[in-house]
Amino acid sequence: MALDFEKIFQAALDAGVEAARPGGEAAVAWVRESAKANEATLRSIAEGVAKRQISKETAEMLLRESARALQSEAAALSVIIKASAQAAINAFLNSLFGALSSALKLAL
Amino acid sequence: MRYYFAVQTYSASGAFLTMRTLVVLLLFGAALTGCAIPLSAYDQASIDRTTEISRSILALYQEMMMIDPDERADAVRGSLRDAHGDIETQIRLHLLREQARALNDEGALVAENLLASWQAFSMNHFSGEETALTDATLEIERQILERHLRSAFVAEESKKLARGGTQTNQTPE
Repeated sequence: MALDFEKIFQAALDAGVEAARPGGEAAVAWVRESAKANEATLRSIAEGVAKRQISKETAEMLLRESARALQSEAAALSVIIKASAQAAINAFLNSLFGALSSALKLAL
Repeated sequence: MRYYFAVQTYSASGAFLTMRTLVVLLLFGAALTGCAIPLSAYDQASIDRTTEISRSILALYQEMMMIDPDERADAVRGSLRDAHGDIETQIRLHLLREQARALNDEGALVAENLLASWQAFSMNHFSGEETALTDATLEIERQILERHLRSAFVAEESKKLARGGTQTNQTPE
């Protein structure tokens, strides 16, 4: 029975990389969006303080909560990364074991 | 005779080794498939709760900002008092449900953060501090709450990616 392992693994790897692509793009987009949102919040706080619309006390509270929002954004990023990794593993294994199962049926 | 037997054995063991390799690989794969990355399944109910909380928060901020800045403190202590309490209840319920879901550390963290920020802002509204209810303060508070809510939506929607689906950054209606 001829079994081209190299070809099977390459196909599985390609399937894994392809499955991870949407997650990779979503992660990059989310990091950009999160950075922009954080910048906008900090800018608004600075402007509010400069215009005396926000006191030092309130500004400190808002800065603390902005940092907390950044934590939430990091948690969402973590989910995006985990989900894309899972998609890549699933695609890799499905491709690999689909090919190996076919080979095994032929061998039997 | 001995030579012939040796060739037969070699040939049979070669085929046996190839099949054994395949079986081992398949078993290894089955074991790997069981070792999934710790991530809860997508839950539409979580999206629905987040949508409801978003609606309540956005409506309250919209209402506060429509009121004359000098009259906001009275409104917060009067007609808008219940809305503050209702939103906290909604977020607390959401947090409990998120904490109860297995493999959902991130969803629970976002809900905890949302509750903590809401409590800080709510306390600020009732503080009587001079700039607690200015346009600038309210706009920034709303921005920060939207960041938590967006994170909750993105975290939940992204779970579809694990099944090879597409992520849709659903926003509050």
